[in-house]
Amino acid sequence: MATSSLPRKSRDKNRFRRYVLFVVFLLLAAIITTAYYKGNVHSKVAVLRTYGQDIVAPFQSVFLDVGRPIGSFISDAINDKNIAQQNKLLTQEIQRLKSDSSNTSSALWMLQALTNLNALPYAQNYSLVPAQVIAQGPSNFELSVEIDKGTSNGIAVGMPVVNSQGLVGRVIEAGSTDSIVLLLPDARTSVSVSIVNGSNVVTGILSGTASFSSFDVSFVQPGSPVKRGDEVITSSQQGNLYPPGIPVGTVSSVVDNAGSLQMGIKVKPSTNFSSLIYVAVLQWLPSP
Amino acid sequence: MVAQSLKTQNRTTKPFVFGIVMLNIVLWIINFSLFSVFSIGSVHPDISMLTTIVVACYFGAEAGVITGFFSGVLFDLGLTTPFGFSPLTLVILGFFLGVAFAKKNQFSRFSLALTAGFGAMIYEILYASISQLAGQPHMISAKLVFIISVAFLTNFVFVVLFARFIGWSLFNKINNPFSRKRFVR
Repeated sequence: MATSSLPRKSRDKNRFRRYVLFVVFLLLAAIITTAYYKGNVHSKVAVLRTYGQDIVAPFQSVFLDVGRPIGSFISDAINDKNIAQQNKLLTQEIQRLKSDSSNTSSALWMLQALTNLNALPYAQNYSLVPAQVIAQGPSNFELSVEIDKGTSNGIAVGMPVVNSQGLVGRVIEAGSTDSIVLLLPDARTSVSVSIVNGSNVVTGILSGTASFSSFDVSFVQPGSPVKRGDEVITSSQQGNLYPPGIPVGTVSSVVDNAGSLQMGIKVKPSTNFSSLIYVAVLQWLPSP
Repeated sequence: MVAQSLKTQNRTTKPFVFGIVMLNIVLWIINFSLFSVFSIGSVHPDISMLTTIVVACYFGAEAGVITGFFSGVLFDLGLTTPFGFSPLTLVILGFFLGVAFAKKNQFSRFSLALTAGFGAMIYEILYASISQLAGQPHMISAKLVFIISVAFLTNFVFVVLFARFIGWSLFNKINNPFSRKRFVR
């Protein structure tokens, strides 16, 4: 073999060098991680990341125009378990649309989506910045999207992001022309919420589960009047990261075991996170 | 043969390292623009670890460690996850793959694809474990199995094409270790 033809002394030296290099780079990576967690590197990394976003943003816009239809087609083809059923429904839908006298175009649809954003019932008291989603977060361990508006449009880190269905997430990084939005289903998200059941209001902490289909609500006392179908909105508690009254979802299951310290509540999101196109950033910041 | 001589001498040349860094920058832009559009059940193909895997397999642990560190730092610059997890994971992956294939100078297309697939699996498991240990919630979950499967599949499919791309961008026709003829049948 290749390395065995070398003299033994040289082989040992090479092996030693290899291990030293490994340990040095491993330590370097560990130091970077520790400094990020404990030191003041956080803000410097954020600045570097902002520059990185500004570099990639134009490329993302180009690929978005070309790739979104193809990407959606491939994703739908792979993800859909009932493609035949969906095909049937789509065929019926096409026939219905054909018979419809009104000519619905994509421009009208976009106009409708943007009009809906401007007339959000829960955001009447806040200024809105409409934005388009230009990319999804490339990591498989975070749920985020990139939008085409940044600090030059009045967006700042911490501002909540909504759409016509409800709460979407909040801005966690803001470049000059684009921003990163951490989606509500990301496991790092926690929101103080109110579960509304008629005149009864129960508060709890909603957290992301890394899934688009459900959230968990914790810290709800056993025996609280919560039932399936109750509406979940952001609470008016002081210090909340979101303004009060924004729809988050509906209660999908309630487990109230005798003897447990809290109720097990699952919430179905009101927002469809897998097809986000237009969102609005609320120009609201949590009180420090 | 370049791959053989680099492995034999256990030495990475400066132009080679420079080339790898430049290549990583190009791949970084591709990864964050083109591949952010495509997803399978919200899981994206991740080609960032492919450079480390291919370099470690062909050029040894030393080159694998250096490449892993730089591609990890670059990749983390585009994410909002804690900074440093990717280089940490890729340095470990680059080193162990380099050591495991220290005596192998040529790959068949299938064995390279399989190695890249398993490399991706190890990377995802390592990343999730390190993140979970560092306090990131929900890293080791049911979704991880799906992420691993997609990472395996995309690496398995793309690695030969990717190796040819590295060969085309860094070597001339005579030295290219990834040319069609160099793959073992």
